[in-house]
Amino acid sequence: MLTKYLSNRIGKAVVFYLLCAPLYAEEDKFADLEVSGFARLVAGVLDDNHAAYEGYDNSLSFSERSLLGLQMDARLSAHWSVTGQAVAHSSDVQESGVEWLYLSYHPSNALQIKMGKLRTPFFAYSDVIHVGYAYHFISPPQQVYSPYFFDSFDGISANYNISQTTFATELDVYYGKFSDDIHYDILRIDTEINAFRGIALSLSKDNFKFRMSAHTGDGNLNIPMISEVYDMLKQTNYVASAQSLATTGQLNTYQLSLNYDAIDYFVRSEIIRLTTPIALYPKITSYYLSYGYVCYPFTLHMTYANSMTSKASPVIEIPHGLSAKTDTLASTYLQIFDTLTEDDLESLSLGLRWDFSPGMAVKLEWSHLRGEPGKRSHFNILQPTDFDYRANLVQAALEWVF
Amino acid sequence: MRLVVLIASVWLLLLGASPTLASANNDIVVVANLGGKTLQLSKSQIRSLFMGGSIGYHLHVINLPPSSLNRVKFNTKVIGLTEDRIQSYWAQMRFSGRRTPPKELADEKSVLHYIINTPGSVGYLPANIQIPNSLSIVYQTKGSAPVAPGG
Repeated sequence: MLTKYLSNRIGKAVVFYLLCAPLYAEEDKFADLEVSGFARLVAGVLDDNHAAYEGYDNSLSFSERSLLGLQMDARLSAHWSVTGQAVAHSSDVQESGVEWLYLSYHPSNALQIKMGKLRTPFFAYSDVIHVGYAYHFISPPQQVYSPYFFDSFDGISANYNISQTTFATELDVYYGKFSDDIHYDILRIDTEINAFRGIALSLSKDNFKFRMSAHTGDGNLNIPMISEVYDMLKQTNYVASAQSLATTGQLNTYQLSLNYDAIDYFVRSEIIRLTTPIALYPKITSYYLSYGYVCYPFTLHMTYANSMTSKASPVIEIPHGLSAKTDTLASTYLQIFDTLTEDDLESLSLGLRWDFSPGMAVKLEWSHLRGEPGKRSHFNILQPTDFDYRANLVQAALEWVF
Repeated sequence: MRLVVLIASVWLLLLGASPTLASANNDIVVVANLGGKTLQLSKSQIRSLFMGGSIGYHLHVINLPPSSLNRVKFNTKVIGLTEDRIQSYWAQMRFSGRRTPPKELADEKSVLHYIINTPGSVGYLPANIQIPNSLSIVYQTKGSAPVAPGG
């Protein structure tokens, strides 16, 4: 099964590599061309057969998070470079292909401007979410790093960083557009976000690093069934009901994180909030707190994460019994709200990372998940009547960067 | 070699709690080729510089390989992170397209030779190494007593 996934999914990345390879072979001639990459082999199993979580069920799976990524950085001149990154996922839910392709202008060490297909810098690990070697978890808390927050967008970004005598500052601003499917379990929501823009400010002093960011954009979800009901409600003058099903509106995301790094331990914390008038999107407030103890080359971590979500409520406007047609419309309208999900979930994870060689690490992680009965809680619930919303996820990973 | 680095790291952590033992041979000087100019940088600026940040000066950084004991000392005393976390940091920087790790040279002799011959370069060396007059010491760990300039 794994072989089949890898052979299918890695194909695109191999093509990308083959395109790069002749250039790589000329590395001595063009010293400013670099090919690098990352890979992870992750196995996981859930101890419950009534639900699945992040694709894991009660049979051991290697295909949910395993991937291979290749990156090419080509310096065109002293100030200009091109970067491309392709990722092949073993999971069916994640789309394989080119994740990045941008032109970069680097007038000084302090300033960098990028244009093209860029990573979305929503949260602290968003732009390296596929590079497991870059963080201590096997999977960053799902409550914060939820698939609602897409990986990449097309646009322009600027990064400015400067270090003063006592503190360092980094500022990111970007503007662009997102147009693709947002995948969430079995759902694929055709989404367009125009005037997508954001700002992220990081301040570092001694062992502390603080990051705050805000992201916004004009969202437009293309869901034909909802649009049909929306039109019918509008035509029959149930304007408030129609408005509650609007598939356009502003999507706003806010983030704060505070990290502390000592040589033998670290603390990571992050809180995020998503608000939008679009009924189909939940309002999300999530956070995590992670403590890591470092006994080189081993790192132990304990991470607590929680998410609180709220879904939109239907407008009670359509009278019952007026006509069969109106009753059907009201019923369809209410059914849409019934399908909306809430993802309240608490989790506690314990993990061990062993950096056994430069660029390589092995990780083990156990997560206890406590969902809220009656809500989806990030689970794909297979047997609702028997599921107690408690489950344990065990994962093991081999991380590699090269 | 990896085991030696590991044992050295543990010792450096232990020695960190004992300043009298920590000084002497464990200290590090950060040396730059500034064309005769002088510059003093803070620990925070040095850390930022070696982690790929900008400090407002045109300096490019030279590093020692992960197997070097002086790199372990520098990581411990200046960067404040173990090698695995520095490697993770560079993975994050590289694959987010932000920064790339500094160039590495094989040993201290090569670093010194490179800095002498490359204006604007900066690297760290053990405090007991002889630093030529043409180079500037921009930072030294506490207790460092750099050897008097030679030729």
